Amino acid sequence: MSFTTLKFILFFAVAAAGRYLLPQKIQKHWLLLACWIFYMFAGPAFVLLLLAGTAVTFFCGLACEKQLLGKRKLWVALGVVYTLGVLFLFKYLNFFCATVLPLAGIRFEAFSLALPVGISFFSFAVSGYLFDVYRGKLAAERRFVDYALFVAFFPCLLAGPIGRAREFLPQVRQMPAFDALNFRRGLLRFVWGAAKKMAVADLLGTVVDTAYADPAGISSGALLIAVCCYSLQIYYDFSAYSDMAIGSAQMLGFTVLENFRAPYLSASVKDFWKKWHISLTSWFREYLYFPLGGSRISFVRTQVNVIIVFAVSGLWHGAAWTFVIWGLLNGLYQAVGAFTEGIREKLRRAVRLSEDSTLLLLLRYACTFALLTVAWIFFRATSFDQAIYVMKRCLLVLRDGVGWASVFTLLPRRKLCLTAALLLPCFAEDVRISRGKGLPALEKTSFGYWFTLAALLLVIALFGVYGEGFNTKDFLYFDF
Amino acid sequence: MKKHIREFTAFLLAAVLFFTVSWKLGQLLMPVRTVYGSDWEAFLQEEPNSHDILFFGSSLVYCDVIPAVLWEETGLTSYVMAGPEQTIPTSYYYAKECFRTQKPRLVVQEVTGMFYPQYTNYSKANVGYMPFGISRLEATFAAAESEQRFGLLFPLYNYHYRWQDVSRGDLLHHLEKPRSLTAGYTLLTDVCPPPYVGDQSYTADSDNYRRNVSYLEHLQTLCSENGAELMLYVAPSGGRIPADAMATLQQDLAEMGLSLVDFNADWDTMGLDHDTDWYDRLHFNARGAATFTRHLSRRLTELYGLTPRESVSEIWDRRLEHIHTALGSLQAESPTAS
Repeated sequence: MSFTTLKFILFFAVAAAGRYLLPQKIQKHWLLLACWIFYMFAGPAFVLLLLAGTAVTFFCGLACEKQLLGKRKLWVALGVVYTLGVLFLFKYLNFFCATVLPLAGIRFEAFSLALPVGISFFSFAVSGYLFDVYRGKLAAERRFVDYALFVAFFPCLLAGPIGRAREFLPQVRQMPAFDALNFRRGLLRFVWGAAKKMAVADLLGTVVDTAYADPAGISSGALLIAVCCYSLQIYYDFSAYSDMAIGSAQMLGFTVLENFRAPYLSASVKDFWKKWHISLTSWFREYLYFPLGGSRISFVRTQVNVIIVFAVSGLWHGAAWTFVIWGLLNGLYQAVGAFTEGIREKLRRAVRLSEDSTLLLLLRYACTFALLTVAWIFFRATSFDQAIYVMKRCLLVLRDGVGWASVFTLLPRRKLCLTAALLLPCFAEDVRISRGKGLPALEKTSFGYWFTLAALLLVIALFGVYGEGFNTKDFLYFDF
Repeated sequence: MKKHIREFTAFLLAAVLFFTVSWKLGQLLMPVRTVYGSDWEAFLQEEPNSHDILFFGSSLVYCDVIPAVLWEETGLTSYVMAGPEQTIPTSYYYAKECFRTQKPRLVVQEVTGMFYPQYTNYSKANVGYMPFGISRLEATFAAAESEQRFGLLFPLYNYHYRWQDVSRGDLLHHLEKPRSLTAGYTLLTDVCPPPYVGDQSYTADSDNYRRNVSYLEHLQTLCSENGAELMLYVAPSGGRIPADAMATLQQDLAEMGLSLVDFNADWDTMGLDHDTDWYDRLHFNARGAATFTRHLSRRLTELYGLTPRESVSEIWDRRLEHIHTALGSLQAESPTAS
């Protein structure tokens, strides 16, 4: 059930009504029921998987804390192996067999196994919980309902933000009372996300899909524009989803992790990864990078660890080599960035650019965007060969020119103007965020608030990609 | 309290703004429709109470009846408010809406729609162009499938994608709202060989047929309340209503005190040239439509004795000139015309 459907709006209205109107004692039970029903829409059988995962990790958390059979490590290992084992079975077994078995001379035919939506997200959430219990950072949850609500909390269930038990469980225990201002803020954020998804990301998506469906059929310039459009599409798609998830949670009285902080306004790839998919990168930092030694080891080892973490991150996104390469590239960018920091500093001084000059900052933004866009090609391409082909064709723009006719076929003038116009407020939001501000506090006004909501709904109604004859897109991160 | 009033006012104004703007945008983005069915925008430009006769039904009406020829023959003014596969419930709601601005003396309903299923392929086109109001709402729920209703209640849903295609001509059409020179008739010029005559298959089941009968009764009552007579007829066509269905229909109509004129009975006598007058097996081209309309005019005069009004708008002269020009060029172009 996608957030942008009428079905979800109705579902949410019922869930929120019960959350606030039922007696407080049963509010969390109601919400948990709603979460499970929500997940049933993704596939009734998957609920069993979710329930089993919840029960196993709940028990393992308790057993770890109580040192059942005198073991702590055993229980956390059991819980994590179970969780990641299920993830491996559904997401990676095909990929693993296709990669490893041919090396042993065994012929392998891929089998069909539906990937439960959101499995990568809730697997990481519960693993994080078990690690925290093991490290003594968090007491094991004793109330199953509270724990199950943490695992299945529907605004974050399908594509994050990946919850941290130590931040979420106290809220479940408290079940905050209705706060009108918070609800209004959440609603505005939800609608803002919907507008970003349906009118901006999906509009960019039509350009990207056309280009990637037949990259040979368009000019190099058009392909280059489509490749850049994908960098924007994936950002606005995923940040729109996050806005809607955070807004839904807020309307239900919960605060969840922020996922983005204007990532394309980053002076380096390292900086970008502090602002992109924050709930995942912080998970990797806390549960993989630090245990590997973090930055307290030698410089070279640190950079190797960064590359390892990003390769795993790539694999987390999808069971394909293109994702691994995407992750490796991002790791390499950072390692190379760290190795060349001194040289770049000398170069800056040689050309007499001051550290805080706007020109230097814009150059850094542009370079970071270009590097990330190259990596996104692997993320979007259907195969390694297609990614290489697209990169080669994009480089040919230097030889062949832009090919404006093809550009305007892919992105007709009217669509181009609209895309630019719609990107402006999104860009303005990023600038505000980069300066430490969020969406304007319109929830405190009456006319400003309701008229902004009406305007956003009009933008969705007029420019949104939806309705009869349209292939309404799911959020891109639902695939992961 | 003051805060709550301000909040509620802001909410209300924003909601009104949203629905008004999206409704207007929906109308603006709808494809301009001037042929193949009723053109509501043009119909509403007609002077109030200026029509003696209104026609309802399917393509067998808007392809076969030329109001300008009827006016030439009888001096009676008329407008065709038919639509593709227009169902009887849709005809009823169309008539209900038409009576808001026109007081015709005669309503003419082509009855092939009695054998149409509840939902046809053209609900969106038939209902989507109606002016917003109770009749449109009722038609939406009576004649459109559930998955189409949202788009009919909120047209921007159906047509929002046209912001990429809408042209200056479309915008001008909506602003100028030109009057129709064909008064709802759709001019067809192609010529097909003489049609073979045989039973046409219809898909309405008995429940749906009964539903259509009940809507016909509503139409009868509506006409009677508005002082209009109701004429029912079967258009001449190569695709005939099967004999048993026709017998049932005639029996039901007799019970309602209504009679039916079957123009297929005049197949050989109304002056048609079957070599040149058909567009396809079911519909006339302009020449056939003119011949049929002349025949229809004679029957209307015989049956209802309607007398023309003393003065009519100058547009009727233009309508007649328009159709004569079209017929003239058809005569000149047709290799088989004699």
